[in-house]
Amino acid sequence: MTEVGREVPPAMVTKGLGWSGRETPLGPPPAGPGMREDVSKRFGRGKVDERFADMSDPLREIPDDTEVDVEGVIGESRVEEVLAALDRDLVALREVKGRIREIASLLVVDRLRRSLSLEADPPTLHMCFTGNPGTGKTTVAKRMGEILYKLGYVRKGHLVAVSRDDLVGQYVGHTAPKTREVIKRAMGGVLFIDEAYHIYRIDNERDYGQETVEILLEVMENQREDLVVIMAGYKDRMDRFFHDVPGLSSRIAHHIDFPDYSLDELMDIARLMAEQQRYVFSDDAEKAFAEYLKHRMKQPRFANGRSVRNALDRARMRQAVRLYEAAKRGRKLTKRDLVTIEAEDILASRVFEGGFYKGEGARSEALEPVRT
Amino acid sequence: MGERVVLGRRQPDVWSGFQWTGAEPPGMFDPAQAEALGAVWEGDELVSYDLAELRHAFEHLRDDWVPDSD
Repeated sequence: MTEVGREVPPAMVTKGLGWSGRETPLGPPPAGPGMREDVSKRFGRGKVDERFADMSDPLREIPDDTEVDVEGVIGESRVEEVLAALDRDLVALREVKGRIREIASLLVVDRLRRSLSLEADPPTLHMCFTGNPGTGKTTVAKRMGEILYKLGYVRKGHLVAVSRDDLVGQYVGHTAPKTREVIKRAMGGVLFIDEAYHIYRIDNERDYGQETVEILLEVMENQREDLVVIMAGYKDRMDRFFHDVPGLSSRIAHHIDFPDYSLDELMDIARLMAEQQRYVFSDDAEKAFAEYLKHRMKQPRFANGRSVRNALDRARMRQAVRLYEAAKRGRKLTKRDLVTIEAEDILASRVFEGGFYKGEGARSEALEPVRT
Repeated sequence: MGERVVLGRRQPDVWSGFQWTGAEPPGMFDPAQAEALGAVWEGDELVSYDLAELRHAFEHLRDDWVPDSD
């Protein structure tokens, strides 16, 4: 189980809280349904225009042509900042970005509505991410907590990533406290359940996963304003999981498919990853990496962005060995040497037949390639 | 009185109504927990003047520690 967004001492991950799901460690639950307190009562009703604050039926009493301060609200919110960061940091994923734009738009409109005392319940934001390995499901889930925090939807914005072993117990009475502990840790943020279909084994009557599913269903319904649940996995298996667990699919408002990346998108990812690690590809290295990807995409266990990251890590190692050997031979190294991935760092991969590429830019005289 | 640390803020114009700043103890979710452990509201800000003590007390709670009733 991992948590992103803030440091958690290991002891806190495993120690029980005695939380029943209906009460806080300090006593009875706050007012409101489930554990959630009624924030509208506790924290006020928002920046309502004084003229409309006391209206009992603003939907009918406020004139239809009353204008609202759109520019002011957009400026105050961090919507534009969030969307720009999303476009900058994530390659492709148009559908995902589209959904986040929808949520952001809803936030802005909700604020405008509140200024006229036109309140509505927050939308359900439980999500299902389906796609092959390495298509960005976990990366987007990690970003989602941060995004929802910036948009004001959640209180903390951290992400707790779990799998079946973190939720389901091994003996009678073990599962419920285990599941509730995980949920409690995720409150105010995002609970990311990877390969969620492993939770419930319908063919095994004694499987404790059903208890976890029941608790999740209850929390997803009654505490949806405190917790965003994201379930992820292969599409066909998730579809079967939803078929086997009635009521689950309908509690998930956003079903988002993560398609495999194209070659151009994978190259964009490679450039972005290299830049984030403060490396650059030489021109020849770019061509070599594209060639590498063409080969790798046809091979088994190709995992999209994850395969790009792995290839880049191996290229960094080959570059390091190449530079080290060159330095031992007396060659002076420069910053350019340290940051540049050369073609030979990629072409030495076993993905290419024979390990060594024979074409243009395959190796330089000064820096011998080293196969790893 | 120790250093003033803002644990969270009321955000009445957003859905969550309140947001933590990240200074709160890990795992703390409900502002009422912080209040019960000594944090105070100053306007829209929930602040602590003894964060170390607040963290210590919260970790005891997480360990199911119960104070003596006598």
